[in-house]
Amino acid sequence: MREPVAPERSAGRIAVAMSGGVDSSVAALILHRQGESLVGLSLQLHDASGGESGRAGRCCSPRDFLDARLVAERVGFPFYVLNMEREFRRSVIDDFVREYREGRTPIPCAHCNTQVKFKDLLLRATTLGCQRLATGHYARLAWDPVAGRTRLMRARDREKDQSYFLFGLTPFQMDRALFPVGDLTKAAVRELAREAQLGVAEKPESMDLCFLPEGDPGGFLDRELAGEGPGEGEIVDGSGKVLGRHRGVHRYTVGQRRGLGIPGSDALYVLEIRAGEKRIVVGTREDQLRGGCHVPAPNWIGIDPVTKPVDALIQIRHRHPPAEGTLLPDARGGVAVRFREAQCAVAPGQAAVFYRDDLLLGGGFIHSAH
Amino acid sequence: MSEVYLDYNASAPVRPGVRDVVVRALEDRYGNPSSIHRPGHRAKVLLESARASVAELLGAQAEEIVFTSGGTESNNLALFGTMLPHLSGHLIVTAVEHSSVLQPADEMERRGFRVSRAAPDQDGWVSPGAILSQVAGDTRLVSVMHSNHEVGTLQEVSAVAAGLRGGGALLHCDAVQSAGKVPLDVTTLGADLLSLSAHKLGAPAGVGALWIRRGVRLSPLIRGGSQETNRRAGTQALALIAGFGEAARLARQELTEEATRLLELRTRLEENLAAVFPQVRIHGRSRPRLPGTTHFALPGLRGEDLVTALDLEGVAVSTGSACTAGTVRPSHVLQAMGCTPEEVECSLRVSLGYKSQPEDLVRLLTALRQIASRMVPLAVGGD
Repeated sequence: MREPVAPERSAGRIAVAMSGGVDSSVAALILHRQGESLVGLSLQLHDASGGESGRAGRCCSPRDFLDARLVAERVGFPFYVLNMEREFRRSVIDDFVREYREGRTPIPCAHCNTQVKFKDLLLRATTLGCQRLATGHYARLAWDPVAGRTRLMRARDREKDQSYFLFGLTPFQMDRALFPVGDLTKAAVRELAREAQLGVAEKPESMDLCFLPEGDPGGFLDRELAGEGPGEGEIVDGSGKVLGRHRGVHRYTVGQRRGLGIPGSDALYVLEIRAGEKRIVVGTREDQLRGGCHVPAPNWIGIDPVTKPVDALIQIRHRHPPAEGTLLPDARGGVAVRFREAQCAVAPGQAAVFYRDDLLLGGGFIHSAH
Repeated sequence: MSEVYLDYNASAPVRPGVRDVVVRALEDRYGNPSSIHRPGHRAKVLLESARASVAELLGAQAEEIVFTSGGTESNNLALFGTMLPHLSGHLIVTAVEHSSVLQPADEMERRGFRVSRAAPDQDGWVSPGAILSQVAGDTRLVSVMHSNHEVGTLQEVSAVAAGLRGGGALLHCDAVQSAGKVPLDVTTLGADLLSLSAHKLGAPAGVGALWIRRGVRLSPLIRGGSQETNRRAGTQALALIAGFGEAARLARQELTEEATRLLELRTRLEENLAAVFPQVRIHGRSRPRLPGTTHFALPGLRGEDLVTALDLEGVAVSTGSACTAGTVRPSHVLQAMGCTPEEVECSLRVSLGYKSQPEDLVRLLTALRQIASRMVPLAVGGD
């Protein structure tokens, strides 16, 4: 952007991944105003046409494709819908189902970014003569001429920052990525859209996962896992005492409080999911505090892999206020994270992402909490 | 950069002569053809002259032509109109029909009718025997397309008709892709119903026709008026119909010459394709096909990406199977032909028409070669 750029950031068309929302629309608008030649691409990730039960208003609905198409027409660049259902199924849905079945809490958006968008789509974009891919993510990229590499930073609008979902990018991918709205506040993005008279200027945000229009993974997972036999099991406390029954481990996540179905369970949280035993362990808010977690295979993008203890800010889920702590490298390339203050709901399957100030150092999936 | 349009099987550009006729009709023929007054009379005269032109393209009688909103409605009318008056019975279709035949067939199956779907060979050709062997005592209708919209393979409709003769079943033929491209003569074809679409001929979309052999009984889908001899209610789209008539007239006039010209163009294209891409596989190549249609697989190169990349170079082609959202579904035609998943995914359809010139094919080949050089071969079915 305004910084000196990596060598790959040369001329040529730019592909813009367009969800039909205001952020990716304005990302395209900004690049167009910078004189770039664009190709807008919306991704058909799952069958949202839904026949007669058409689900409107989420990413991948015909309405969203039309919104993106109208932005492309208004701004003035070609636009296509690419079918990526197979890629999405392989990289996102299958993992999502597997993780829940095994008692973990997956982050589908992270896989969608690193696999579907910045791997599969980037590859397909090269066919269209595009070496670079822009998205509407709130994150910033900065070329570090001293280190000779591109760095990933939090967005200027901290409320909207999505760098957490991008920790898995590789240097190759970062050199080809563009996040044009990362320097703007959401309000400024909407203002730009309004000025340019884009129909999506006031479009509400989609908060749910795009493939779960009901917002609830339970029903989706029930369908996906139908045929695997009954998944019910026991709900126990820390001492092993049976407090109730549950409807399948895939219906629970660590840190969850509601829907446990135990009388007077308001103050109980899911502490641990033992998928092998079909057992859910619950406890009080205090019981769920964890001093650290194990990240076996972190991806280092801001610094070289750590070889000695390093202090960092650690974020363990999307909306988590980063916690201070130390990263302790182990002998197998993994990291033991030690929080300065114990944290709630440290959920295996989620990512622990490490920052120094705004700089994203690296991150990886949490294997276990302790 | 001029645009090269090579997707005539999807829709043909409106012919200039047709455009003039449509505009004149919009300006001068404002009456309702069913009205008594002179404006109505003038409209009626234009309507009937268009009907005569369409009939002539088929060797049919004008009163056997029912105007519809297009090929899809014609196919729906043919299937539902002949089957639904019966409470039960058997319908035979081929597995490579257009979805406007297959989906009505699916619906009838849900409503309790029996449906058989005759499979094609690897060229998309359905042997008459494969159809006739399914005929039973309660078979009421057989629907066989004249030529396939994706691959272009011509079916042996007359042979099917000969085999059905004397039995109780009617024969419907979806001739949407054949009309104006190959000779059609209902007096020798042996079918009882035949569907046409105007926009494949260079008239505007939104109008089509169903030819219904005199004496064939059919229940209307759309009721509420006596238009089209009680078989399709609703005020006729006169300007569109006038354009349809003119397109049919032009098509009939130029048919022989144009078929030869397009066949030559296509032959040259297929030869050049094979020279540039030795791995190319041309679908249906060992059967008679429509002259201007070629559908081929370039293994390793995803068809959807080729279409998109070609469009950025100003060349409009198709994967063959269109989809509502502008995205691609695997072609049921290629699947029925037994193509591998890779061939299905890596296929491209080029369909030529009245404007197509040798330069267009040079543009296509140049762009294809350039795009293929930067494409990363596709790994189908996992990595």
